[in-house]
Amino acid sequence: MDPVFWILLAKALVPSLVSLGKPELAGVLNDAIAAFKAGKNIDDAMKEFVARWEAEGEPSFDSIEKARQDIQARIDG
Amino acid sequence: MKKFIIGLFALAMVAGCTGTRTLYKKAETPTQYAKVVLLHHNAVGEEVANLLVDPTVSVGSKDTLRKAYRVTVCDKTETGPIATCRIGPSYQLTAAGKAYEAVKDAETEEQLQAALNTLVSLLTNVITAIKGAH
Repeated sequence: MDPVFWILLAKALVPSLVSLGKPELAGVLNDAIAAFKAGKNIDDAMKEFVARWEAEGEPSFDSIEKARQDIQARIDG
Repeated sequence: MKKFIIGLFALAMVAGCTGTRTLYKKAETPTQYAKVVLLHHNAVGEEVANLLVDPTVSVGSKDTLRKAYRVTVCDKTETGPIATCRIGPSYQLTAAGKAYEAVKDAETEEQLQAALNTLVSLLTNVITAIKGAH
């Protein structure tokens, strides 16, 4: 089943858990949703790399390094 | 070559999903394995960058994420901002990959393997930090 379905289902459960007096369970569920979304984002990026590899061929070390430098620039707070 | 497969299989298991597995399956040579790990590192780095600007993520988690990512790109001697780091493990893997691509002998393959093992281990830590971020 589409992972988005499980995210939506879990999100729908959060208010119910809060109203049932189980905020700690709602917190655990929220964290699980966040972790799931992060994993999905990473996997989506990997799918993009696969598509690019197939369309343009193997990437060069230099192009990967350039992308890394751009990411590093974003990470300093 | 078997060592590459074992280490990368473990990392793919940590990440788990179809896109990740498909990209790892594309790698057939040592330099391709290195490139896939570096691409994975970039995908994880993007997610770290996104989480650092997410208002729902706690300050403590952001600090953990930043520290975990830092050790993948910065050497211990690099004490400045992450943006300025250029000799950490991911750069060493790039250098080892380029050297192996140019020479392709047992010595450069050994260097590539060592650099790969180091980054795979550190990347696993960043993925774990992402899973714990909230």
